[in-house]
Amino acid sequence: MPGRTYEEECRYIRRVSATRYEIDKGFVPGMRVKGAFYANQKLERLVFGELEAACERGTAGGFLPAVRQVANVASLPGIVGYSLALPDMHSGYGFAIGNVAAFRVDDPESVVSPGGVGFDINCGVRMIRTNLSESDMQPVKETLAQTLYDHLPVGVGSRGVIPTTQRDLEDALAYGMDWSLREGYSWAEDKEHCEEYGRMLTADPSKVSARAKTRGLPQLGTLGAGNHYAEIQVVDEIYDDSSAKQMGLDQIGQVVVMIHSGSRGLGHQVATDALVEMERAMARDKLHVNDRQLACARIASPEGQTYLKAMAAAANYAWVNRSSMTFLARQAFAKVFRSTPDDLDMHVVYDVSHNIAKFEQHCLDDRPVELLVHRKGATRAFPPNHPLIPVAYQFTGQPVLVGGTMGTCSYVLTGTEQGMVETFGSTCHGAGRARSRSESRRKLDFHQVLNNLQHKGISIRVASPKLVSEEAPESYKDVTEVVNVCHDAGISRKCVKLRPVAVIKG
Amino acid sequence: MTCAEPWSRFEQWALLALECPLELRHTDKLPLLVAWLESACVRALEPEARQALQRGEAGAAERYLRDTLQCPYGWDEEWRRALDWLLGRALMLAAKDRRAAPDAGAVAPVQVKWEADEMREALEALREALRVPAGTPAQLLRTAEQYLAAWDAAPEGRAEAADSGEEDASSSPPTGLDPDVLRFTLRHVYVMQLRALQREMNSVLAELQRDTAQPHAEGRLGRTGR
Repeated sequence: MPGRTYEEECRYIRRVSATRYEIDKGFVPGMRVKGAFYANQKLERLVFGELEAACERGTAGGFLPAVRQVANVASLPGIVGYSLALPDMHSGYGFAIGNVAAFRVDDPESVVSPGGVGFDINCGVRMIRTNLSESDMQPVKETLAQTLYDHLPVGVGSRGVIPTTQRDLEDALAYGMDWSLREGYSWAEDKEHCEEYGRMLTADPSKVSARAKTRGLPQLGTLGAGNHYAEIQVVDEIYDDSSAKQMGLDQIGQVVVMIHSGSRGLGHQVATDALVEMERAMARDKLHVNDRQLACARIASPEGQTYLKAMAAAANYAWVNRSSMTFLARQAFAKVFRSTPDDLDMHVVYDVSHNIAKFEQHCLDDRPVELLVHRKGATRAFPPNHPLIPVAYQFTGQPVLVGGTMGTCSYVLTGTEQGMVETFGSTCHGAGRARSRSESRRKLDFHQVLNNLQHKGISIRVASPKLVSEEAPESYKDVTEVVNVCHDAGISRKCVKLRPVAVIKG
Repeated sequence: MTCAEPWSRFEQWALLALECPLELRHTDKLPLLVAWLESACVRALEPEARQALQRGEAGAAERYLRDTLQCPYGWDEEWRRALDWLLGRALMLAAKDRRAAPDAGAVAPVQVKWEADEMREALEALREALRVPAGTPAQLLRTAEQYLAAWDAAPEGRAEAADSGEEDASSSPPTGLDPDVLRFTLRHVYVMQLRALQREMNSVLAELQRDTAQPHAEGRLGRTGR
């Protein structure tokens, strides 16, 4: 709150366990529920440091600190439980990145907010296993990195290489991975190993603007830029043998491919269009929020419904996008190893969404309740036996793919019952930024960043080298700390650690 | 009649749905395809009257469509429209047959591999726990489900029986049986059934892809590599 000192602000924040902090009502005006976030002593310094800097800065410029954004979300109509933030939390547009918020569907006041999903709708991570070992890959590592780079369109303004007509785009928006499957860009098993089976049935392409479609058409099957990447990794450590085996990750040194991408310009335009509509709806419905970036509309309102249908179509686009790149990555591997993707056992381990809002059933006061769960920079992590996870993972819990930063390790986690109780079945999504992009560009030299990767033996192909410093490991939190907090809190379990050997970036 | 034109999407789907033999899905086998549609789906002629069609005699398909079925399109002039009309009629009649079948509406049983090692072990554990020496896997599962349902439905009764040292044969476990172990075993068997179902679904999807998929990439459309 403007005018309060840092010490006064801290009085509203209590540590309730080794890994969990709660934000009391009153921290910002109108909180309907408490806020909560997960951190250990190392990560809490970043959270509180950001708050202290904001208190010193006063009302002058900059993003709100993440902890205040979490509290602002707690003031939205219809929210239940807590406004939650995971250990990779950092400031975002309206909602913090790493923020999870659930709204009762049976409450007519409840809202949906594009800021709670993010501009890159259904940004997510997909992992593809292989039966190759590090020793198979090392002699051809540079060739493999280059071939993957030659197959995947990357970078700002990149265009897809899979022929796509306007009709194809409409079908992709409506059918998601069912389109990829029909056209032959996906295997049947890929769909099985994907959240929502790669298709949101509520999608309505007619709710996606012409401008969004114009932006999306040439970009289908492209990686994009920013923090998006395709990485060749090897299994570095296995913490849970049986779960790892069930995922087909059972050998130290086994080669896998990780693809991190989303809905490109189409998703961004869908979010932008919705924000304009919602500002009008808020005035009409007299909805008042603490931060203008928290633009929202009642779930049942025309604007809320339009956004949810368009968001679902953008989510379908993102699944098709990752599926198309899976097809291209399989072709690249087949070419280098003079084999076929089938013979290389290139099965999709799982595909997670970490920017999305979904209707889900959760238990509130021991009763099942339908909620609209917003996860922005947070991954769904459903426990064993949950009906919405694939049959292959019924005994392990849902695989959670946590991408690290360029040059650092990544993790596969599994969902837990504890997560279902505490975080609406959610856990972290990545490392989370520790420095803004502009600060990274100012303080880090991209030559140095590339040299550091070379020293670690990591091959890199990058379309815009000058932007590399924005994505340097120094710009992010330590992903191992983030994952350990989630594991220690019991909201997900560590299963496999992966080490990068080649990175393709925009 | 022969022609080099490929099947339209409707024709592909219709032939797949009708489970037309693969060797007849060629446009140079049109007379034989018409004969197969008549004998498999339409059945407008007596079996002995189908011989000319089945031999692929010249003019037989045309006569059949015009005289027997009163098809509004001429075979020689508009064979494609005539074929689509015939496929539409065949689909309608096949759907009618399916609705009239005695097991209509029943879900086909999943082809569970009861003899698979993992499944056999799980069933043996269940058989031993329940002390049911004989019976099919389905009977065994029903017994286990009934027992668990009774167990879950009467927690108070169970507590009283335990206090008094009495046991109700319908709801009490065989001595030493842990209901949680039984529940887990049942769940294990259930998940294996689900896996079998998923495998079947995947194979159906893969079969469908054979008729619809033509994946390809064209490097000239975008810029890759530097």
